Amino acid sequence: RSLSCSTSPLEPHFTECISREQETFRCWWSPGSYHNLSSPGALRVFYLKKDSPTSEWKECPEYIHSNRECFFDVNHTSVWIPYCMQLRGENVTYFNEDDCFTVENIVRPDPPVSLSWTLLNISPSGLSYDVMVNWEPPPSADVDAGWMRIEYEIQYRERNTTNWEALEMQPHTQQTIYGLHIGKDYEVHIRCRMVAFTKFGEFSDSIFIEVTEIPTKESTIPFTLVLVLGIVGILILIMLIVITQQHRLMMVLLPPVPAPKIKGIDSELLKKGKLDELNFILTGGGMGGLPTYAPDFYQDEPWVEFIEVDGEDGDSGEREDNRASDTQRLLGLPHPVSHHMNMGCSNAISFPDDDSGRASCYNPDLPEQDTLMLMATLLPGQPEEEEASFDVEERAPASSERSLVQAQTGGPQTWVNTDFYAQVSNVMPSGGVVLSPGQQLRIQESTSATEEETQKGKEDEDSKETEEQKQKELQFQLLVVDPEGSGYTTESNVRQISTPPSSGEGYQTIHPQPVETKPAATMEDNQSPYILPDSPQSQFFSPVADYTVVQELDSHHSLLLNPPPNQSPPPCLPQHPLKAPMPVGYITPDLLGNLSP
Amino acid sequence: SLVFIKTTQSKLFLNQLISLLFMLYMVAACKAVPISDLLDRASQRSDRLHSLSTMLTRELDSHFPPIGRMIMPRPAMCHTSSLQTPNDKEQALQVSESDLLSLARSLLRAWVDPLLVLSSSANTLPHPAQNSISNKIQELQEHSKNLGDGLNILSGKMGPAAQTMSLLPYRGGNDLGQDKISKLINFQFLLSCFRRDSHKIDSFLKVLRCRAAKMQPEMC
Repeated sequence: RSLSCSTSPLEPHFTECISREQETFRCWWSPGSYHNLSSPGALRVFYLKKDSPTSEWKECPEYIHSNRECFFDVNHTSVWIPYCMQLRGENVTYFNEDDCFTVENIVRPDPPVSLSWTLLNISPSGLSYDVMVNWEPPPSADVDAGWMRIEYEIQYRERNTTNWEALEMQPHTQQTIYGLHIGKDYEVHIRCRMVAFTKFGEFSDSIFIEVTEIPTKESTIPFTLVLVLGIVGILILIMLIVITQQHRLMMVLLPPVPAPKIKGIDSELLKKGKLDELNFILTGGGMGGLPTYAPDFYQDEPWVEFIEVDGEDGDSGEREDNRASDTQRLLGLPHPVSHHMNMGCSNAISFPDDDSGRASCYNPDLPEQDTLMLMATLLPGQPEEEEASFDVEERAPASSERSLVQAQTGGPQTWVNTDFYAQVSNVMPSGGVVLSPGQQLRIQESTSATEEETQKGKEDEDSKETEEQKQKELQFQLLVVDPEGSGYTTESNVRQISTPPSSGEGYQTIHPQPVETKPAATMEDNQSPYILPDSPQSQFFSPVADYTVVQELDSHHSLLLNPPPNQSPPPCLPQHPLKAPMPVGYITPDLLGNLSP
Repeated sequence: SLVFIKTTQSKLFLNQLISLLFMLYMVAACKAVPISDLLDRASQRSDRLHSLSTMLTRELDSHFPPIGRMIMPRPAMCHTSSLQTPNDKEQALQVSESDLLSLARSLLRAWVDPLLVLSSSANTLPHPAQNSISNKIQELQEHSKNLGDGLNILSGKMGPAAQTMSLLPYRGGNDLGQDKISKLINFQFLLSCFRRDSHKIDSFLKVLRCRAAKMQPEMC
């Protein structure tokens, strides 16, 4: 309690009243500057306990004169009841309003006891560590009964410094101190107070924390050594194997990187720039597909697995199957019996059959009968075959073969060599898409070659199969045309499809001719849904919309496919080398570079 | 789309079922909450209540220490002084649990109205920390209400003796004074009364809790 600010001599007053455990309390007084009152008994302590309106001042129950202390024991102490203290002299009463209090507000708990600490951990850098400090609550405080609730404040500092660090108050009897430094000594002490009150008790005795450096590096040394030795050993082993060229082990350790290896084709052709020859071979330019007696280019690599090629690149068998099923579905044909020619398989290229399901072996599910029929009917010179052509179920395979042979021995036919892409020529209002057959590559050589081979008959089933492909493709295209509802493409539609000839060199295409087609269900019809190929003369002009050549770029960098014939080129457009159409229907990347103005 | 509708319906149904099961579980679980847990929660709330009141008093005093000193608190004039409560540890340890709870509830109930008065006065309190004080009074009201509800539940589990309450009506009126000084003084006085009673409530609940936690001495 602070002294009143007055210049008058200090009156006797109470210096402090403290309770340690909320069960007893003491008050100390001082005579002030009235030294003659300092002798024991000169001043008497009186207190008023306001527990009833009729309470009176009573004298201190227990004096401790040596301390000038008045002690109130358990019987005289009540909580939540205000006390007022008075000092009385001979005839004078010294009373201060400030000396009234309630016991709970003067509680200052005793300090905690039994402080101890344990090392929790050391940081990986070995520079700092954490410590857990434990203690006991002050024995005088009855914490177990819940009569007092205490919270603790830890303070610590380095030895020989003056500033204490305080941690946050908390009611538990342990706390962790983080981040102490190795090699430094620390001093820790604790004080406490009642929860939600303001007066702290005294500090406890200090304890000292010392942690010296602990060498911990040795444990890591053997580990790194083992690691390094292990890696070195493995490297040596690999090198030995490589040097001694044990092929088997090399295969195990360093398996060969698979490169595209197509049987019968020199891998040289697969390099850049030789696309033409490759295409030639693949599209049956030579013998119609890959010859069976292809030179074995990969003799010394027995583990080579070949990519199977059936005249198309990619997954041959699946595409055929899809087409077949699409065709069948569209035509409404029952799934044909597949016991007939296994032509593809008889000449099958040997292959390891673990990769694709069918690989090069042609899908026995192919409806080869009706495709053959279609092939037959596609030949314009064989009208007498038409009626029989669609009656798939009734045709024996042999007869179909026969007809095919006859068909093949017909006049020179131009076969449509479909390319690997089909172009969308037009989108009809009803939503159907009109495809046009792909561009024919090297139609001259291939036509003559195919003519030869068809005349030879069944010699090369591969080509037949490829042609079947194309027929089916065509048929597919035809049937796409079908759903327009018009039933057939008329002459006028054809004119829509075809583009005005802007140049004729380099590619020949086939017009899709107007054909009366019926819905696929009615197969009794004599009419054959087929595309009559044009006469060869017509092939040399009028490019159908296969691939349209980029003629020009206009000022907005958009590609002009077919510039209006009578317009002069816009003046701002510079002459660039691509006025002439490109010979091949698609743009290779190096040519694309030339496109940009 | 029918399948889709069916799946959403079944999903809704499933959700409802799950929420119903969850509620049933919660109800069952609530019924099964042991008294010690309830006491624990209650004592935490009373702890908070008392801390808030201490902070409020300090905040009030921080700006007007002279007033705090001049007008000594006359706790005998608190409206709850008529309630007979244990005044020391021995007495507190001898009172039965039900009585302790009943005392706590009575005290808490007695402060519902005065807290309203304090709250409305805090809005116009002529004090620099008026805003903070006003917020704390709001918090006091909330905690007080929550604690009251919790104690009601507790009393239901502890028998009829715990359910009796003493009425301690507040007769101080709605208004703490006309002039600034008397307003402040009365505000502070009322708050000191509240603080005393919040400590009583807290102490009684702590004693109760420690008695109930005989098996788990670490709770105390």
